[in-house]
Amino acid sequence: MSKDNHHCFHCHLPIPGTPPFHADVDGIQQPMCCPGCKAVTEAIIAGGLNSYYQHRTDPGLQAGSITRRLQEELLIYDRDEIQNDFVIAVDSSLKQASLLIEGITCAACIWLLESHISTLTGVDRVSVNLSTHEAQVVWNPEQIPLSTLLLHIHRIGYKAHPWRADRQEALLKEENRRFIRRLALAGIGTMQVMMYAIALYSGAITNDMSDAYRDFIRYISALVATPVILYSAAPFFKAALRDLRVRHLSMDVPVSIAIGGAYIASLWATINGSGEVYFDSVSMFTFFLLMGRYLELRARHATSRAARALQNLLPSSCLKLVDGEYVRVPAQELQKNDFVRVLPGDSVPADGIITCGSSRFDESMLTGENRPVAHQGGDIVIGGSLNVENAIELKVTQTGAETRMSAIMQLLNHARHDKPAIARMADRVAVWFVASVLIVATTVYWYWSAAAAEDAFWITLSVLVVTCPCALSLATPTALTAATGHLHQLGFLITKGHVLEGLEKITHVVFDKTGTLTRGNIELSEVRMVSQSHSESDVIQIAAALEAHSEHPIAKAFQTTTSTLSVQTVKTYTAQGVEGVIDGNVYRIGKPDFCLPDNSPARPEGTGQWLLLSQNHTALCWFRMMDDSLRQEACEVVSQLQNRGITVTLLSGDQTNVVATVAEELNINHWQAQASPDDKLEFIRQQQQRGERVLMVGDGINDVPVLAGADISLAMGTASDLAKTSADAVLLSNDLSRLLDAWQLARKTRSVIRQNLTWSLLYNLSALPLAAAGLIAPWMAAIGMALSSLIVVGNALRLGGQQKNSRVPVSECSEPPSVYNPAIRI
Amino acid sequence: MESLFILIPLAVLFIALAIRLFFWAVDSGQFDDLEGPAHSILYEDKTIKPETDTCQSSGKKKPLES
Repeated sequence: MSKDNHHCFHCHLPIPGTPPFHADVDGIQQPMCCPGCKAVTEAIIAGGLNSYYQHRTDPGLQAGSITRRLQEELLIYDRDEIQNDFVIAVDSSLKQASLLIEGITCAACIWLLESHISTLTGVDRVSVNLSTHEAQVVWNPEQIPLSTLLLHIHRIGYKAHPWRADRQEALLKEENRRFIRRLALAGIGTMQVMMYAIALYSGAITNDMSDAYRDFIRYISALVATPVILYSAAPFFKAALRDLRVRHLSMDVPVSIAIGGAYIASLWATINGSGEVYFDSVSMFTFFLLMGRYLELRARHATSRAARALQNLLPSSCLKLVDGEYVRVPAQELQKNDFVRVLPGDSVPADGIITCGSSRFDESMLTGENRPVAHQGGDIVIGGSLNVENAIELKVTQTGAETRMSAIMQLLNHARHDKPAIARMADRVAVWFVASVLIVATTVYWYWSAAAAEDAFWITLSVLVVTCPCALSLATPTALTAATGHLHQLGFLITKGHVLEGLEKITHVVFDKTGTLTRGNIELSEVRMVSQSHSESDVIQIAAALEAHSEHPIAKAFQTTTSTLSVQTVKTYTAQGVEGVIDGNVYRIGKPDFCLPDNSPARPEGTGQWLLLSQNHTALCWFRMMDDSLRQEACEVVSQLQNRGITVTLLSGDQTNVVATVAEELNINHWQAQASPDDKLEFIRQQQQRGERVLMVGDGINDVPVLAGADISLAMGTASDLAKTSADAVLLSNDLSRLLDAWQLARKTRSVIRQNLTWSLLYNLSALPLAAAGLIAPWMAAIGMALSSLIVVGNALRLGGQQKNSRVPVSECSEPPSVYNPAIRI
Repeated sequence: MESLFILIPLAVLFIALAIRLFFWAVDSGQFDDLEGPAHSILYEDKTIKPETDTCQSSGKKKPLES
């Protein structure tokens, strides 16, 4: 299953250069991109679960490494007051926990999780649901604490969050079950009634069936069709009544008229022993329509579940001072005037004042500024910002609803409130369709009651049955469901229903810069040697060893190389650099006047940040750090959009010169730098007032109100959870070119919907005169209706993606599969 | 042909039973995951655990089906 030496065996992410890690899989050294993936692969192999790699159809997610902090956080889950939310006692010794597992990509994951967890001592049973990603674990807390269980799940490369099956979830489940019951009853009932109908038709054609048999079979048909109407078709009648009460015509109205009318007329014919019966058509209507509705429901559930799966349920924890010691507690427990210790790499749990220490903070999710801001003792730091350098202590001043972050949330709710709604095409068709059907039916009845009074009622009924908009109401939901599923496979997750319909009408695309058009990180682009005592790979090794102890964004650039050197006595100096001792030599990396305070050399020419590395106060080399490289597909995507006549704007909170460079590289003429969230929202409002329809692509919390204000919003897969849950769609694969795919598919979906509507209208219009002339027998109506529905569904299925074939080795794929976590396959 | 008067009602009775059975299956959660079980047959199950099940006793609703 290994692709080649340039892709990680576990997660298939490309590895530039030689693979830094290897793991032994079935005697072959497979390339690994990071220690996390290596650990996961080794855990899977050690557990004897190798067949995961043979059976999986999607790569695993890139694994994070298990830190001490994670272990401490998981320990919080052993507390009873936390467990109350998601754990129930099964009996005196066993408990059952509901978990939501993150990182499930295909069926092999389910097997891997179940096999691995069930072998642990103290675990009684475990079952994982592939559709909803919920896991139910029954375990004995005496033998194994829950935190250990969760740690084991992390160890094989997944994340487990406590999952409270809230009321909404229970409702979804109940709704799903009710639908399956209705569908089954309608399906089985239809089959039965069709059998009796065949007998009736053949009797009617050969004309040799005695009335006793005919009436008996009609009664039996009525008996079977009645529960189908009363139970399965109930939602249509309810919806039609609701719509009529608010004086609104929807698809449910003609459907209910046809089903109800035909059923009552057939019942009347059965009792009187005259006329025609339509029990088969009525049951079939119900079955086909329910089929369409069920597809719609699955898509709706999947998107709402996907939206909720994105909400990270981990209670963020922090270190609080209790009786002179720092203890890890859930962040919600914080009170005003508590003292908290924030380690480098942690986010600040609440607004507060620094009482001890100084550090730099990444406030990009609030301000969009992606360079860390330095704060000393006495400064106010904002909850939600990320501490990137040193441990600090702070006194909490604001918690919960009073923090700056909550203010942003309120802005978001305000923006979301007045989102432009896009009406559904089928419902617009429905209004005049219903009206015309009713007019035609009345006219037909009036004409025939003058010509042949005894036939008038039956001919009118056949008109209603023939024009029942079965195909018409299947046209839109089937197409939307197929397209949504296809996009999901591509890593473009739609969480709100109007995206596919609205995407076509977009005239203006607004991009955020950091993390959207760019990768949002700093990279090492050049090494310029000063002394010849070391080779280039040596100095990179030294720098990586030193920077491994820093949380500064620059340090991340060195994380791709792993150093075998061990460093003693490391000190990080805020806004200066790092000092450490390797093999008795003192090394410093950072600003030139920090490394060589006495005679710092002049910076080399060239843009970017230059870091100096010194050994015992002699300069070794310069590292050129380049900000934020563009995503490789960004240029292509922007020019493609512009070719389609769409205005592209770059809005960023970053500094002017940086934004200008990016805009120039991408040929974006409209750009605005140092824009606050309010500025961005204002800009979008202005565009909308000019009649533009705006698509916003962004990440980070500062974009959230802006995302909500746009007609359609798209969040990157790396975006903050809040941004993802408030966006209309999420780019799970982080590949901007998927936006173009989505665009194309939206166009195709629209044309398929058009074709479907046209076809079903054509069918109805051509059948109508025949029915009005009294030429349509019940069996013809049934066949016509079934065929037209099947054609519509078949046409919609063309939008579905290629079904992945698990038997095709991945090496035959032309491009590396994108790594993402599909929440639910539809 | 008179046998139809017996046979058809019998068939209807069977259908009613089938529907009852199906409803029971839906309500006991067998249709909650329509994808996972389809794949699970492909994996050989090497880990056979001893039955140490205390809540498999009859008449008790299994919580996993909740």
